[in-house]
Amino acid sequence: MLWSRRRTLLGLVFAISSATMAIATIPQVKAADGDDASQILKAMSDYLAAQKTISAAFDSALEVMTPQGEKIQFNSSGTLLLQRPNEIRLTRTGGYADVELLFDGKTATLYGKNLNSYVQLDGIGSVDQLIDKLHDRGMPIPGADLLLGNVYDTLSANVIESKHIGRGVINGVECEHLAFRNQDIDWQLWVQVGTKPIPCKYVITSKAVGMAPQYALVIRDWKTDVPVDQTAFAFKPAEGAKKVEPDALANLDELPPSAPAKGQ
Amino acid sequence: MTKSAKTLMLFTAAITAGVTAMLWSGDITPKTGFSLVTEAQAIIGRPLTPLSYAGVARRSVRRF
Repeated sequence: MLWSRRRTLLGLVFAISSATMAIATIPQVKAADGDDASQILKAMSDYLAAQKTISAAFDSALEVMTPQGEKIQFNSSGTLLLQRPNEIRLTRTGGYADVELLFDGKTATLYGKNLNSYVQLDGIGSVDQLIDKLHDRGMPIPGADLLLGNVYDTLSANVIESKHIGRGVINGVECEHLAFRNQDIDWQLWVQVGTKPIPCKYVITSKAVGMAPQYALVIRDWKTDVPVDQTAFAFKPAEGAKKVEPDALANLDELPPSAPAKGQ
Repeated sequence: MTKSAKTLMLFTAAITAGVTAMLWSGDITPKTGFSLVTEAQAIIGRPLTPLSYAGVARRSVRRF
C-alpha cells in the first residue's frame, strides 16, 4: 500500500514537472501594444487604394430580430470585380434573390436574374456615388465600406475607441484582429498579415438594436491586378429580360421583405 | 458456449439496446413534402415562413 502511494506521488511530481517544462519551452509571443489599430487600418486603406483592379469572392451573413426576440440569419455568397476608378461588377446570390450589379462608369444596371428584370440608374459618376444611391434605395452593396475610395477616412470617421486585439486566422490566412467602437455600433476587422494587408473578415454589431444583431462578411480569393475584359462591366440583357422601375429594387435585397407583424 | 461468453454477449446486447433507446427520437413518421424541385430554386424571392423584423443589423459603419 505504502509503495503504491509512493509511486502515485512520484508520478504526480513527474507529470507536474514535465508540464512546467513544456510551458517554459513555448515561445513567448510578445504582446502587441494594442494601440496600432489605426496604423493597420491605414495600411490596408492605402494598399486597397493603390490596386487598379481587385477581384474577390465573399460570404455574408445578415442577422434580423423578430418581434418575438428570435434572431435569424440570412446568408449570401457573391463575387466582386472592381476596376478603379469607376467600374464594378458584383454578384450576390442568396435564398431570396440572385443579383448582378454592373457599372461601367456611366450606367449602373441591377439585374435580378431570378426575376429576369433589371433596373438602370443614370447620372452616377463614381463607385462611391453608386454605393450611396443604392443604399438610399434600400439595396446596400455587400462590404460597401471596403470599396470606397478612401476606406480609412470612412471607417475611422466616428470611431470612439480602437484596439488591436491580436491575431486570428480566417480561411487559413493569418490576420491582424482589430476592434473598434462607435456610438451605436461596434465593428471588427481582420486584415491579412504581411505585405498585402487585405481585409479578410468584417463584422458590424448593431449594439443599439435589441439583442445586437450582426452583419458579417468573409472575403476570400483576393486577387489584384487581374487582367480585365472591358466587356465585363457592360450589361447584356438575357432574352426576355424586362426593364423595370427603380422601386422594384426592394425585391433584390439579401433580406426577404418583412411580413406584417402578427396581430396587425 | 461458455458461461462467461454468454454473459458477455448478453451484456453487449443490453448496452446496444440502451444506447439505441437513448438516441431514438421517437419519431418514425416518414418525411412528407417530397418534391423534384430543389428547395433552393423553390424559395427564391419567397420565404417559406414569412418573418417580420423588429430590428435589422446595419451593413455599414456609415450613417446614411
